[in-house]
Amino acid sequence: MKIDKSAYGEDYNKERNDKLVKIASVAVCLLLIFVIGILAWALPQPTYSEYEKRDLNQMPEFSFESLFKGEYTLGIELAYADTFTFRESFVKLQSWMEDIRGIHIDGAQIYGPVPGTTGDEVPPASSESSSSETQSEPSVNPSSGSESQPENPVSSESSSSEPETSSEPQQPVVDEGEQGETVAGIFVYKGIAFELFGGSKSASEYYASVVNKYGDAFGSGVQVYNMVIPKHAEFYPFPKKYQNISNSEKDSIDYIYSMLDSDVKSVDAYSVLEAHKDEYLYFNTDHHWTGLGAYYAYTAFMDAAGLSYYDYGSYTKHTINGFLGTLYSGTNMAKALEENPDYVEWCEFPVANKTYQYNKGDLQNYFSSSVMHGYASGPYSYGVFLGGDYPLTVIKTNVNNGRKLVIIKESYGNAPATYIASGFEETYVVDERYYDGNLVELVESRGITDVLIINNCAAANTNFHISNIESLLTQSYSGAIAYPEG
Amino acid sequence: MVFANLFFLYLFLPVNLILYFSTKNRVFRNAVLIFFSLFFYAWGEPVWVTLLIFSATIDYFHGRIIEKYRGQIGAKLALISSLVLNLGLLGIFKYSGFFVENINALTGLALPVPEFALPIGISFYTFQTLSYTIEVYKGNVEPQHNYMKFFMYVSLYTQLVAGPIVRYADVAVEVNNRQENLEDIWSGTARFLVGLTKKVFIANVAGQFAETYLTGDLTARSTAAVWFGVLMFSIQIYYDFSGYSDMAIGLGKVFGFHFLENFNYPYISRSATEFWRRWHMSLGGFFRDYVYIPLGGNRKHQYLNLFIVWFLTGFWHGASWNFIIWGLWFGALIIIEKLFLLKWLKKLPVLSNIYLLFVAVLGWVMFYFEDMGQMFDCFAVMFGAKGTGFWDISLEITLLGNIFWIILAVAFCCPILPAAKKFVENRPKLQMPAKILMIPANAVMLIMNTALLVGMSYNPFLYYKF
Repeated sequence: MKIDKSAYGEDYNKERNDKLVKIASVAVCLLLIFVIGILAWALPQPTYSEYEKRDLNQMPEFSFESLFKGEYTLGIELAYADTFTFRESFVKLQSWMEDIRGIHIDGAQIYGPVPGTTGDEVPPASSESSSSETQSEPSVNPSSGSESQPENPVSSESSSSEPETSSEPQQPVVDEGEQGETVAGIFVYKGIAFELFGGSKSASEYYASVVNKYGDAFGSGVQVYNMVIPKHAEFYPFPKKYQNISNSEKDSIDYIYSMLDSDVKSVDAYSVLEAHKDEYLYFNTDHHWTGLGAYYAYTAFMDAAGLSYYDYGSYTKHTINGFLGTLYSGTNMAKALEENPDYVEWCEFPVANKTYQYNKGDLQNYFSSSVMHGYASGPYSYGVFLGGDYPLTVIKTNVNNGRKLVIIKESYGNAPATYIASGFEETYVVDERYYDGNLVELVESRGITDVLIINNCAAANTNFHISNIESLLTQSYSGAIAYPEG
Repeated sequence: MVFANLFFLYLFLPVNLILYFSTKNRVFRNAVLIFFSLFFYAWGEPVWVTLLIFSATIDYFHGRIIEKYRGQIGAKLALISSLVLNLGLLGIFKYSGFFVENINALTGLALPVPEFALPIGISFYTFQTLSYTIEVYKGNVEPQHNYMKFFMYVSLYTQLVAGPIVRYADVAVEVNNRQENLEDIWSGTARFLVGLTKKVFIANVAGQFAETYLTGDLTARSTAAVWFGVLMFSIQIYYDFSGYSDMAIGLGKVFGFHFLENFNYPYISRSATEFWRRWHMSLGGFFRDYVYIPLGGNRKHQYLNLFIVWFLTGFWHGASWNFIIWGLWFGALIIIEKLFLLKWLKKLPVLSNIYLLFVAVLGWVMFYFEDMGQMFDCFAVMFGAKGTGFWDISLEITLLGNIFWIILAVAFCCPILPAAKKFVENRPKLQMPAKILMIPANAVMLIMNTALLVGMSYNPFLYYKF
């Protein structure tokens, strides 16, 4: 009897426990779904992502047209995912899960597209290719033309601020898949992120032909210079195993320089950087170079231009700490990089100056600005140089040597421009992506004596950039460009 | 809408569950399912949801007409009408562009090519409604008199867009009278989460690798890199498809439906014949019962029948020649196996596994590339005919950097989970701990997949540069 009873009780208990466990199992899942679901609904939703440097998708506006095209519902999904609760924590969790998927000897890891074994096979893209042109239009923030540029163009709490106040403007997404893949992925090694160089012979040839066009575009009193800057992977002492992971930038630069006409002066930044390659020339977590790297390139340029340059020790210097840059974002916030943050050392501009800048899409209004933007911080720290990518920056100094310079650049040119401008009476820094005016007109109307085209090696191998530089010679601005006088 | 999506998981699903389980009223529950199914479908297909309704409605009436005129010409006409209308829908929306393009290419004409965007899931639901009419005609199943119930069967969002192809006969009883219960809800939840993990944790990642390594100029890649890309696609397509079936089966259970299994670890097969008994079983069964056997099966002109079936199986996967080639590849393998190979394979345990993996992976190359030039490039590099070198360092970094994930992805192609289940079932003492362990396991899967899905929205401007 006794045994029977306990057996019955055991069975009953077993069944009850079994039921309880199953209920708990389902309940935990439901609870998670409901709690996260409600938080996703109820918590305030960010509109801007600092690390991604983009506006987050917001709820779309309803229209029957967009509904029938399926755009409306897709827009809701995108907005829902973009503004999901605890988004940054989830992204970090995802990044961590990516890290533990395998073994990273010396932290070696590749993000993004892998380079083909032969970089030269990339098919040439015609310069007229319109697909890249249309996609290259800055998708966001043609900023207002008001002269009341906020004092601090680098907004550190940009999560809710208007995008036009950020110093590093939203930049175009370039579909390079069809344009020749020049950046072949990001390689992380020992806590440093490197952009891998693919390169394309046909793009190099195109680049050289465009620079040669510049050589012919202006009158005899204008000297054109070209500088192509190698990037970090070129100088880093990788062990033998990894030496071929990035194609040679030196080969590409030499090839470009070999094709330039004699009336274009080539500036050899490579040698001077190579001589100092053990110094802090490139960031660990950002695709740009440091102020020091830019300084060495500046000395090379001043030599080529026949001007003297400042000694690095003579500058008053400042430091911005805790910089996690574009490659940190580009690797979904890789932990190895987070543990190896950069600092940005910057030098005060050494001569008296008046500096003006223009907002995108508006060359009829300018506003007073400065060469260095020392309040830059966080992911925008590289923005200390010129405050980021403005279509046009005009720097007027008290130098009196009759020399006036135009610099045609992408963001790599921002840092050296802040040194170079101190050697010229006037410097016009033109961003090839955003400047809508005509360069010949600029050179002639402002009495320019020197034109410097400066690009990092990947940009000099990317048709998108090259065609932008080419267009500067032929495009025209619809209104009258206002230049700061006096 | 798809399952592996934050909006589905954290908004659609909870609201659906709350409303569904808020009452025991069967009519209300069915109405909730229909409403959410229509919403689910219309979310991605706001215009062509009309086709779904059309297809369901005509076959409801086909069933009724067949019942009324059973044994008479009317029943036959209804069956023909169902065939013509359903296959006509497929023909117009899925294949018309392909047909016209090929007619143009053959005749040199320049007929305007119709450009329909393929309505989601049309290949699945037209087959479902078609099978219903056929089964009613054959007298294997009672026609459904209640339109709402029939419509619920057709539109049920759990399996609507990517299978399994649920035959009415298999769920007829549950459409009319089903009993949701804790056991099913519990195991269905776990099944859904396993499917979600297969999709998000494995298939999506493998898909990224496949895309990276199989896009662009393949002749610029090393042999090993292209093999890696192809293997990653093989992993992706299995986990993607079977994960989706798992989610469908799991969600179906939560709502009290029991669908048949659709995948049974196809990569452990030892012949192409066996592979197709384990891969997308609901489709294989459809073609077997409605094409192969009516054509005569193995009783008359078997090889012609096999050819037709495999041509159609390939063609069903997409309106492009590469899918037809892929179908015929398997058709040819199965014929060769029937002729002599199968006998040998049975005697060669490991070799037969290798053989199947090899031919299946080659098949996926045909499946992957709609562009024949790229397909040939891929084969050429895989077999070293382009002299691109065997190995490269970035592949090595990728392999090492994902080695644990790769081991998991490969291992779970084998029936580990069923083996573990069996192991526990045979040991009563382990049952309770295993069930308790499932509580955190479910939570971890959910959170992990959420992080991965959120991560997919993380799109830094990678070409922010310069």
